[in-house]
Amino acid sequence: MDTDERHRVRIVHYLNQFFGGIGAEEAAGHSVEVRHGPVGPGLALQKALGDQGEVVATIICGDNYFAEHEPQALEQILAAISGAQPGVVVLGPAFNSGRYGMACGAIGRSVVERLRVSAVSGMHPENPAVKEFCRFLHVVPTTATAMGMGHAIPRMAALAVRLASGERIGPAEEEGYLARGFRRNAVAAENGAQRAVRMLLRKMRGEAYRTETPLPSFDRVEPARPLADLSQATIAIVTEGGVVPQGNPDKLEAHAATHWARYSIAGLRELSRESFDCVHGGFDPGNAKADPHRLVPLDVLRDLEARGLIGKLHEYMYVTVGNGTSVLRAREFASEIARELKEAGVQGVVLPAT
Amino acid sequence: MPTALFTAMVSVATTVGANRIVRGTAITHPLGDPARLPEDERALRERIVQAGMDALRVTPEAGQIFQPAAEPPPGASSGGLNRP
Repeated sequence: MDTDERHRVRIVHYLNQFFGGIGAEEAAGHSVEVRHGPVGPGLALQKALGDQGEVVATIICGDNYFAEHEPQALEQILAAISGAQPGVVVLGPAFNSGRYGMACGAIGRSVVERLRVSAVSGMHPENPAVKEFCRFLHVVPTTATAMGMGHAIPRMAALAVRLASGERIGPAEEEGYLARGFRRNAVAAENGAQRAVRMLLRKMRGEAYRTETPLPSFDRVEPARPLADLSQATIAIVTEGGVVPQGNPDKLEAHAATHWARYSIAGLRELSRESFDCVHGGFDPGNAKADPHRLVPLDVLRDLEARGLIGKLHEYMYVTVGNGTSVLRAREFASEIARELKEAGVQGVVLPAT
Repeated sequence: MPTALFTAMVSVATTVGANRIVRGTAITHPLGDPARLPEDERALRERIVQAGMDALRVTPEAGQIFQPAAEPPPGASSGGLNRP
């Protein structure tokens, strides 16, 4: 074996159906497929690796297929990875795509825990998969969209090679990955008292300072008290599924929604396909367009209301699109909508989501 | 106020801290199933919504998942709306 080959790290790359070139949302149900060599962004990955690594195989799986068949998909993917005997696995980057991120995270975690092989991914810091999986694999921060592919790939490649060599990786801030929540002891040049006084002086002078102990932010919400008597309660529909009147009169964005809208459903027993549309850009809206009740169950809720099983349905339904919506914005939307619901005497919410 | 979240992406819902999570059918049709006949699909939707109503009536554990009732065996009446 010549020297180059001996040092070339074997890499398996995981991609979803879109980056794997199968198709967009309509192909999200695509099952697990294994290809030799690099595919799509894998070509850029190979280029970034140079002769330090070789993308020996690419595994492609549809985002919906993974989400809806996780145990089987995971076993198939793990078997394929194991068979290729990689030194490290590269997943995505998934940017801010929730389903893709969750798949990358779940696979990465399994690779690390069960195959004892390192894993690297790339995600936008707000991807829900980051919170769930960042401590199991190394996640490089990326832009929200694939515009940042050129920036992410070289960083993922570099980290992958170092991990494969068994090199110990330094702290997140220095090495350019998202903090995993581990603490390692290190010797500092100054003792704690000196560092503390230095920090206090900066703080007093209004200068920027960096805490050595960031406090964790918990976003747990206590469950609201249950409804004592549903038959007397006013229930409202709030959805992030982007079901809007035909023509999208309030121009809800398919992605990165900047606002929410309120639509009267007074007197409406059904959401017909002729009158309503689905403008959510995060999944194939075909099924929802054909029958909006697959997202917003107005038919069933009206039935419950007519039979007295719920008190009444609030006259407005609240709609936004939850696709790459910033968490901060989503919280603002929720506060604004909740305020209206409270003022209107709404007591419970049905929140259909994708 | 109590909120029942209907979604097929249960793991995301748990991660972000939802407390009353009803398992939806699939990402593109959480409250339906285009593979079924209309009456069956409607009955399925009723079972899913009913799981949401159950969620609103109880105090959940943090991140509790509410599973819609199973399909009744063939020959039984469809829909589950006759519960008290």
